[in-house]
Amino acid sequence: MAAKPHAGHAFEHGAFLLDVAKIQEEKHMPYVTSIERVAERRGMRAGIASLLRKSFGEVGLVLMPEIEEIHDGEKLREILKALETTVTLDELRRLWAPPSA
Amino acid sequence: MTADYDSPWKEGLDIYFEPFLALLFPEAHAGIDWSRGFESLDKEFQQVVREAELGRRFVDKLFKVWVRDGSEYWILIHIEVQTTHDGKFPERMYVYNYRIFDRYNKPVASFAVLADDDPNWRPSEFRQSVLGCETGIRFPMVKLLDFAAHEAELTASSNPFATLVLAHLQALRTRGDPAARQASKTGLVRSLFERGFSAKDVRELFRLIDWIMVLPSGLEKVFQQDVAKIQEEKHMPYVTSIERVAERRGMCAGIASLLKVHFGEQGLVLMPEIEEIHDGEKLREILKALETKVTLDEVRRIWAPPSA
Repeated sequence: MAAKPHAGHAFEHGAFLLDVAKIQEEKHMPYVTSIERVAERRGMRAGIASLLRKSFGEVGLVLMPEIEEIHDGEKLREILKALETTVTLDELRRLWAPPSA
Repeated sequence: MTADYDSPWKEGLDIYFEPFLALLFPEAHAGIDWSRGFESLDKEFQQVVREAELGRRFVDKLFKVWVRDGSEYWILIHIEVQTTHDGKFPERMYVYNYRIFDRYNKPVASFAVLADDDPNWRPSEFRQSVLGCETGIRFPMVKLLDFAAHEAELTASSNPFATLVLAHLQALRTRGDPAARQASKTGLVRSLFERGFSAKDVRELFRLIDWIMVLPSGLEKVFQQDVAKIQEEKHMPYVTSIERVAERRGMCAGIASLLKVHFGEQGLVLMPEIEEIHDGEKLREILKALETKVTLDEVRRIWAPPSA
């Protein structure tokens, strides 16, 4: 049975080097290809369309042309989140467009 | 336009260490007994670097190998990723080598790969002389730029690491010329499908190429259409499969939100089952069903037979 990776090293370089190793591991974010990013957004938009129908009926889909133009996956995630609680179409729209005057 | 070079090298080394040595350091490759395998020593390496030394400018990977007479050696691969060169680099080769030796008492062979674009910068040693005492290191060094004259051979090569070297050379050459980069990237991806790589290698290499050869979004679209065409032509939908997985991931995010709307947090009990559904049409049906009012049981019946 191998020793735990951290055992026995502390005597020399101190804990801070171990922390560096830990941070490195935690920070590892796999690279996602552009093709996958586009596809994931497509999937999220299908979900958003269903949520809009659920909350507002067909009229909710008026927002879809604008949502099709959003290429930021995080923004789409925010929209999904917002649709989980009750919002108005106007409130929702404010997530990506400034309030109309 | 930004090009992100360092992490694809690290991943490339992780996946293709043996092809890497075969291509860039064939003598060392020939001396190693590959039948005994090799081990990646990431944790051991991280113990000898200080935080200030970490960065995006270079990649280091430490491996354990066995040579033909049975002895165990450690190999440190150091890749200078930055396109402008750094005078501290030879010293770092020396320091990392002795730190690893000091810490683990293993003989270490250090190899350097230079990815910069200056053909005249070719350091391969570090020497220090103090009052008649000399210390230092001389290390095998490969300049990726030297391969520019051999692109045809690289393109014909069945060594997967050759693809990474090509991607790097073409990224260097097309700096500031996105249209040319898009054409090179498409050409490189096409060659992946023509060199007899396995589906897994095509996917890995596609990912690494995509990472190294970054395109502005307009040309990225053109590139993606080209990739779709190539796959259709070759009847090898290797990239399409990762694309479908990603689309399903997006739909699952939508389904999770809808389940919360209908049933609150409790609705999420269905998610583990839903994430196992590999049929995109089925997921579309679930979305559709959740647009009207349903019960959890009704939703579940879309993919599972009613419980007895």
